[in-house]
Amino acid sequence: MVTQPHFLFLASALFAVGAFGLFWRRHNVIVLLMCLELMLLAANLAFVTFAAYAGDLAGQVFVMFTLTVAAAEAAIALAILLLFFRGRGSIAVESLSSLRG
Amino acid sequence: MSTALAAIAPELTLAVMALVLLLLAAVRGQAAARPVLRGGAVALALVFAVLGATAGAPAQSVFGDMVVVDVFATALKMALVLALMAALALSAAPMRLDNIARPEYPIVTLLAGVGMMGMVSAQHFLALYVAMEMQALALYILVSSGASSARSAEAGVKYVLLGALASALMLFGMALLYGATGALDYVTIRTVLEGVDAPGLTVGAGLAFLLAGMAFKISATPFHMWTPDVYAGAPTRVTTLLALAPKIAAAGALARLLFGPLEPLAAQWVPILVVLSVASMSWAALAGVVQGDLKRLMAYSTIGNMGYMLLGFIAGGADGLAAALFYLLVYVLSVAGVFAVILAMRRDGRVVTEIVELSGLARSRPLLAAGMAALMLSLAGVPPLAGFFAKFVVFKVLIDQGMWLLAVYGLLTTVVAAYYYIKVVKVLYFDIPAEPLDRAPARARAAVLAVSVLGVVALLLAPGLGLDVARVAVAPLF
Repeated sequence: MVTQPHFLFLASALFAVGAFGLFWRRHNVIVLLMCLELMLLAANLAFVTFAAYAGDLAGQVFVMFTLTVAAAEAAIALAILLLFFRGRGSIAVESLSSLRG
Repeated sequence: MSTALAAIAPELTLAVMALVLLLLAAVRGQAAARPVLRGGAVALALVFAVLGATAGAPAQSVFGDMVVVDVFATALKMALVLALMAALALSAAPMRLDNIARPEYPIVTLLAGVGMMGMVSAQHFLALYVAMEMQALALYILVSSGASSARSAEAGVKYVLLGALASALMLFGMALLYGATGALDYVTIRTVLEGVDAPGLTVGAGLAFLLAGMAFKISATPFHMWTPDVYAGAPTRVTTLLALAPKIAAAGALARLLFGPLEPLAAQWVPILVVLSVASMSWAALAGVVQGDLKRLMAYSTIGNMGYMLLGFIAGGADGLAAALFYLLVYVLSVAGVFAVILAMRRDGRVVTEIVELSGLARSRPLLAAGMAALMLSLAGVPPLAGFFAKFVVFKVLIDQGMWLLAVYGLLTTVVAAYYYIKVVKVLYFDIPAEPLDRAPARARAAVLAVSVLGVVALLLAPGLGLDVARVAVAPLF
């Protein structure tokens, strides 16, 4: 029997995997974007789970908005990355270093 | 419906004007750069007039309680519009000099403005999320808009990555709070949370994720990593915008969250804010000392000052929040002038941003140097300038709440941070003059600098006035 905690555990695990990937295997900016996308989708899964089990639609509608915004975000992020690639000829994370943090 | 539309008239005006200007830009192409910039300024003036006309109207919630329009929202929106105006006005000269005047710039700035105005009015997680993303997406574009500059694109990549991380954290926090309370609107969440004796893991984790996301937006340590790189890499006109407007919007949204739905969790969020505030004040004071680049220095200055602003949130209550709001507005006022000076820094047609480039500016440009010196002293908290008064107010509300230790610690960090502000003054007045900076006529720059310096000095005449305005503005939240 799959219950609410299972879904929530999955959502948290996906979120953790995304966050882990962001800080662990950082060699390529595209991979970082994928990790971020995973984190967003994990949050969406949590929303849908809570909404479905509470019988409330608001959370599911929220996910529609998040998906749309995430698409816009990905479009802009890739455009900026393309701009960066044109200037630097690389999208390796190590090439993000002319500005030191 | 018509009352709902009337309530969001300022946002609607701005959005419609942005679209009209976009159409103009599409038809006329690059030739539209100047008219679009003028149109943008007119749109902001129009919005300011609309805000002024509705400032006294009673508070109302519209769109199924998603959006609230009250004195707090209107006051912050007026501040936002002024900040956007200053940023647009300051952007004209550098874009003309660099031959990169494009109509897209003012349009995207206006769209970011729509998002920021939405943030301070949001009373629902969905409204907050959409508004926040709207301003963030527009700002990502602006940060990377530096003409053929790899640094600008790198700043853009960093901003977009860390900004998306902040959104993801916030979204996860919202999901957890939604699961725990079963609601997305602030009023219901507050009612539910008030009925909970000991908040469970879901609520606690939700709160922590939400606050982490907000801390990114106001660049509080340890979520500040993007700030110095983005400030330094973005074109200076965009850094100006970043330093002014988004901070007002994020602080407004944070105030609505903390003193709205999350008020019952004050015992949980106060310690988190204390950590953020202490870390910001300490790190900014220490790291700011070694900065040689003025834009980077201003990034650390922002981080530190957000720490001081959070002290007002920590003190809590109407007085604490009024102090925080007052602090924020004084800070934004001074920063506008500082960036007006940074934008004047060009030598032989090249942009320079190192502090040493200001050496002996007092000889060649006495007025510019005097203005910069006054603003730096105000940021350092030297009496009797506005910066001193703002810090005094924040520390006073803390002490009134019996938080002596935190106030004393804040005071100590201001002393350390004063070093780098006063160092700039020393460079301006006592160092061997460098080659004089280029002279370019820029009425807008002079106007912004004059308003900023006069504001910072004139507050001396009526120190209570600004604080009274802040008290009136925060009243609807309590």
